[in-house]
Amino acid sequence: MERRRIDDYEPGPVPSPRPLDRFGFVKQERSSSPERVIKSRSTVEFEREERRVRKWRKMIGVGGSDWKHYVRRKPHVVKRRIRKGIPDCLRGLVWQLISGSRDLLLMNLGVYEQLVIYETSASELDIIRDISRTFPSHVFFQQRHGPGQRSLYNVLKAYSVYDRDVGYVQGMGFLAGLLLLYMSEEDAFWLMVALLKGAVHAPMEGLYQVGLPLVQQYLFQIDHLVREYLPKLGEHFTQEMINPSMYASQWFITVFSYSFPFHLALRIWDVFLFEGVKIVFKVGLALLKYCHDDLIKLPFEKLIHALRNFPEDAMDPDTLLPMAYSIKVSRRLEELKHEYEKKNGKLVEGEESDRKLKQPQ
Amino acid sequence: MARRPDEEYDYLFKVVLIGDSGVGKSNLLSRFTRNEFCLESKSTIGVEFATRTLQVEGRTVKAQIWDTAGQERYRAITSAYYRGALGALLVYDVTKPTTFDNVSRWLKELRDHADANIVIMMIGNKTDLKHLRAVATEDAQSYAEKEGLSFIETSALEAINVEKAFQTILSEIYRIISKKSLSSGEPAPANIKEGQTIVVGASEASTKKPCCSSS
Repeated sequence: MERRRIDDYEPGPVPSPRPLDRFGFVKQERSSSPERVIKSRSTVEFEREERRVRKWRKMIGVGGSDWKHYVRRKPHVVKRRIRKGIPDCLRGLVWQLISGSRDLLLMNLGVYEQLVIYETSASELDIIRDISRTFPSHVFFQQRHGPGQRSLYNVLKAYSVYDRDVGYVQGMGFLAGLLLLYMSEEDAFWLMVALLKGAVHAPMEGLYQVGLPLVQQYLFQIDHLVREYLPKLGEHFTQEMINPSMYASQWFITVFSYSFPFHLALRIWDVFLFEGVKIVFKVGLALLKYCHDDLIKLPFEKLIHALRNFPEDAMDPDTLLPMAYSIKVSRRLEELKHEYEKKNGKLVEGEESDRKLKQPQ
Repeated sequence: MARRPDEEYDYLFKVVLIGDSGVGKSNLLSRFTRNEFCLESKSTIGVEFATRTLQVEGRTVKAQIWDTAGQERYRAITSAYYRGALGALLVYDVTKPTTFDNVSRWLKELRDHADANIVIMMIGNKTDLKHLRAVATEDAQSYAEKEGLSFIETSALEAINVEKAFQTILSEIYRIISKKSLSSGEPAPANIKEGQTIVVGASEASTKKPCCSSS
C-alpha cells in the first residue's frame, strides 16, 4: 500500500540557489541581525575568535580526549566558556561530549545501523508527512528526498523504533534537524537518546509521551515563575486570560529551535546541553522581562502576537543570555515540581530511580 | 469600554480549526486572515492564533481563530482550546482518505471537550490536487448530512471557497446567537471586552447533549 520508505524515492530537483545566511537558511527579505554582525566584524574580532577557538581546542584535546579530565578539574571554567558560546566549528563535537552521547555511541556500536535498516516503525508515514515541514527554509532540508531529508527521516525513524512508547511526535524533527546540521546521523541519533533518556540531565521523554506529561509540568512551573518573578505581568496575563500553553509550549517541546533566530537557538542549546532544561525557563523569563513594559500594556490579541514574535533586539544572544543567567530558578523549579506532582497525585520519591538507558529489545 | 476604531466590532466569535496533521489547517487560516499561502510551512506545534474582522449579516464580527496541532498526542494540550468555542472547522484532505475516516474521531473529541451546541463545519481541503483526489464530494456530502454538519470543499492554495467557508460558519453562529438573545429577551451581546467570548447557552452546555442531532 502507501507504506513506502523515503529511500524508495528518487531525490527531487536541487532547489535553485537562493541567497543564504551563514547557517544555510534562505535569507528573508528583511535582513536579520546576524548578517550585519558578520559584516561589521573587524580584524580584531576575528583574532579574538581565533584565540577562542585555540583555547577550546586545548580544552577538548584531540577528538575530545582531554575533555572529561578538564571538566572534572575546572568545571566553572567550562561553564563560563560554554555560556559565552561554543565556537561554531567545534559545536558538533562539544555537544556530543557534554551530552554524554559520545559514550552512548561507543557502547552501542552498530545499533543505529540495525535500527535504520532492519526495523520498521508504526510512525513511518507520520514522519514522512512532516519531513518537508521541518526547517523548510534550510538549504540542507530543502531538496525533496535529498540527503538532508533522508538523514532526518532515518534519525526519527530509528528513534521511533528505539523507544516505541514515544515513537514520533511533531517537534522532535526540529531537535533532530538542528543536530543534523552539526553532526552525522548516527551521532545525532545518540544525542537524541542522551537527551530523551537522560544521560546527564533529567530525561526529556516526558515531553513526547502520551499526555505530554512533562510539557504540562513545565507549563505549570513557568506559569508560577512568571507570577513570582514578574508579578505585574502575571497579573496582566490573568486579566487578559493568557496562559503559558499559548506561547511557551514550543519553547519546551523544541527547546527554542522552532521559531527563534537560529544563532540564538544555538547559543541556548550550548547551555541547555551542559546545564539542563533550567536554561529554557531562564531564557523564557528573560524574554518576558526584557519586553515587560511593552507587554503589560497590550490587550489579549496583541499580547499573544507579541509573545510569539519578540522584537529583534530582545533576541540578541549577547543581551538576552546574560539577563537569563542572572535569573535564579533552580530551587523554585524543584519546589514547583514537587508541588505539581503532589497536585497530580504522583509519588514524589523513587521517580528518578529508573533513569537507566533502555537497550533496544 | 472605549476602544480604538480598528478594534470595534459587534461580536467576537471564537472558532477552532481541527483535523489530522498535514490537511492544511494553518494555510486555511493564513489564507483567511492574511491572504497568504506558504508551500514551505512548518508543522504546527501546540496552538497558533489569528483574527480577522469582517461583515457578517450586516454586523461587524471579529473571528478569533485557534489553529491546533493535528497529531493525536497534542490533544493533551489542544483540547483545552475547544472550551468556549462557538464554531469548529473540521478539516480533512481530499487526497488522503484516512484524514476523512478520522473525521468521526474528531467529532467525538468535540463531543467530549467542546460546548454541546458548537457549530461544526466539515472542510475538504486541497481540491487543487485534482489528479490525487481520493475522497468523493458526494461521500463527504452524505456523511455531513448524516452527522448534521455543514460541508464545503476548499483550496487554500488557490484561494477557493476559503472566504465562503468562514463566512458560512460565522453566519451560522450569528444566527444562533441572535436567535438566543431574541428569545431570552436580552439585548444582543455587543461591545464585549476583547479576549472574552460569547458562550451560547452555557447552562445547556454542561448537560452534554449529543451535538448537532446526529441521525
